[in-house]
Amino acid sequence: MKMRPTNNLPEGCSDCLNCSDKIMLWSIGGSFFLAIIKLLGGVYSSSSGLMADGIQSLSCVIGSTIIMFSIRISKKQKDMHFPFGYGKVEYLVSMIIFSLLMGLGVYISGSSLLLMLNGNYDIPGVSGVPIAAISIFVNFLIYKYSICAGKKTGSNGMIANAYQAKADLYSSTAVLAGIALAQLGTVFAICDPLAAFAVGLLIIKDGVTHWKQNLQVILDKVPDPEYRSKLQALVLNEPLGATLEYVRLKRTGEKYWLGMGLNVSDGGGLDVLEETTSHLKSVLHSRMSWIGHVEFFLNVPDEPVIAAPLSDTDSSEDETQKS
Amino acid sequence: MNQSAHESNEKIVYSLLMFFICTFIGQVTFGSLCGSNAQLFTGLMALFGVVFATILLIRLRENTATKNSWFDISAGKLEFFIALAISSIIVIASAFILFFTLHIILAHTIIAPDLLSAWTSLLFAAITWFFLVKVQPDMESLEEEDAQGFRIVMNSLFFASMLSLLGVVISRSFIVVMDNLFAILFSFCTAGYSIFYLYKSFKGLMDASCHRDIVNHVTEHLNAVDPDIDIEELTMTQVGKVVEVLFVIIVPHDLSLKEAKNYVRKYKGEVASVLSDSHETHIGFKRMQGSAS
Repeated sequence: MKMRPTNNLPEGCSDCLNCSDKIMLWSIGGSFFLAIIKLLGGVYSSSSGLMADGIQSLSCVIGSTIIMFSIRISKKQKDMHFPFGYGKVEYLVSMIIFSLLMGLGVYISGSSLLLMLNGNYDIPGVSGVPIAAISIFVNFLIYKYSICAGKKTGSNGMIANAYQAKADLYSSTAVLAGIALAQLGTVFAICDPLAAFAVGLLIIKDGVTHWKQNLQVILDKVPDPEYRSKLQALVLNEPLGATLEYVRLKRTGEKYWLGMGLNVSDGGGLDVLEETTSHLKSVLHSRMSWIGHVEFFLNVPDEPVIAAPLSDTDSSEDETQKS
Repeated sequence: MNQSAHESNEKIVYSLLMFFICTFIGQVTFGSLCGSNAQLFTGLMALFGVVFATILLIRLRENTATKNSWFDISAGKLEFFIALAISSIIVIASAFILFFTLHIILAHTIIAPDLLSAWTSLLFAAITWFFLVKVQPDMESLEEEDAQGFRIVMNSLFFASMLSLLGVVISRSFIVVMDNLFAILFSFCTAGYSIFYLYKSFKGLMDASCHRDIVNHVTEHLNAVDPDIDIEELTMTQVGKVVEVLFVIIVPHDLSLKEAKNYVRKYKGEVASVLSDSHETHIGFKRMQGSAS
C-alpha cells in the first residue's frame, strides 16, 4: 500500500482533519437516506436490483459508523495497554468492513443468479430510475470528499469509506441501466437481475483488493524487500564500525517502529556510540520516510538472537565490504 | 528437538488437523440433513481443534518455511490472524444458527430430528474417543500446553456428541424442543469461547502489552537488580508463544562499551530468570547525562 504523508498537509488544507470528521457524518447520513429510499423504491417498483442496492447502502451506514469510531480510536496516543499505539485499529476494522462487503457481494450475486435461473423476474417500475440517479449523485459526492480527506489526512479508514461509496455508485449505475433497459420489453426484463448480479461481482472484486491491502499492513509487510541491506549500509557508513545484527519492524499505523540490534567492538566509550546512533537516527529519518520511531539495542554476541537475523549472504557481504 | 521427533510431531498434528476437519464436515453435514441443531454446533466445536492444530503446525514449520522477502512474518502474527479468522467464522455461524433455532422455537415449527442424527452422533463420539485413546501416547511428545489444548477439544467434542445424541433421543421420545435447547446451550459455549479468542487475537495483532501484573513484576525485579541503574520504557508484547521484552537502561555517563555489554548480559539473564516462557530481550541504553539513544 502506498505510504501517505500524515503530518505534511498541503497548504490550504490545515482543517482537513475537521473536514474528515464532518464528511464521515455526512456520509453516514447520506447512506442512511439512500438505503431508505432504495429499499422503499425497490419494494414499490419490484426491482431486485434496487433492493440489492438498498441493502448495500445499509451496509455502508454500518461500515461508515464503525470506521468513524475506529478513526477516533486510532488517533489515541500509545499507552501501557498498547505500547505501539492504536494505529492498527483502522486497518483491522477496515478488514472487517471489507469482509462484510464481500459477504454482501456473494449474497447479492447469488440471489440474483437464482432469480435469473428460476425466471422469477418482472419488468421493474420506472420509479426506480430517479432513485438510482439520486444515489449516483450522492455517492459521487461522498466518494469525492472522502477520498480527498483520506489522502490528505493519510486515513486508511476514510479511504475504505470512499471505496464503499464508490462500490455503491457503481451498483446504482448498473441498477439504473438495468431498470432502463428492462423497460424495453419482456425480453429485456432480465437486465434488472443481471445488473444486481454485476453489482455483486463488483463489490466482491473491490472487497478482495482492499482486504488484501489491509491484511498486508496487519501482518507487517516490509516497506521494501531490500530494506535490511540498505540499513546495514547506513550503519557501516558510520565511523564507529558497528554492524547491524538484527532488525525488528512493526507497523504502527502509517509509519513503522524500527528496532535495530547493533554489534559494536569493546573499545571506546558509550558516548561515541550515543553520538553515532543519534546521527544514524537523523539519517534514517531523512532517507527513509516510512520510519517513525527508531530504537537501538546493544547486541551481545554470545546471546542467541532469534529476531529477524540477517541472512548468511548479507553477513558475508558485509564482512567483505568491511575488509 | 531432533529431526525425527520434529517430523513425528508434524505427523501427529497433521492427523489431528485431518480428524478435526473431517469431524467438522461430518457433523455439520449430518446435522443439516437430519435437522439436528445440536449436532450442527458440535461440528462447529471441531473448528476450535482446527485452530489449535493449524497454529501448532505453523510453529513447527516456522524454521523450514520458505522466507518471503516482503514479510518478516513472525509466525506469531500468522497465529493471531488464523485465530481471528476462524473465531470470526465460528461467532458468525453460531449467531446465525442461534437465530435460526430461536426462530423455529418461537414460531412453533419444531420438528424432531431424524434418527440418523442419533446414530451419526454416536458414531462420531466413538471415533473421537477411539482417536483420543489411540493418539494420546503420541501426544506426549508435544508440549504439555499444546497436548492439553487438544485433549480439551476432543473431550468437549466427545461430550457434545453424546449430548446431541441424548437431545435427539429425548426430542423424538418426550420433549421435542430438547435438541434445540441443547443447541442454544452449545451456542453460548462456542460463541463465548470464540469471542475470547477473537479478543486475544485482536490484541495480538494490535501488539498489545502483556498483562499488567506480569509487566509490573518484571519491572520491579529489574529495578531491584542494581540500585545505580534505572529501567525505562519497558514494554512486553506477546508474539505467538514468544514474549518480546524491550527496555532501556539508564547507565552512568562515563561507562565503556565493554561495561555496557556486561550490563546487557546481566539484564538479559535477569529477564530469563523471571520469565519461564520463551522470550526475546532487546536492551537499549541512555547515559545519565546524555541524550536519548
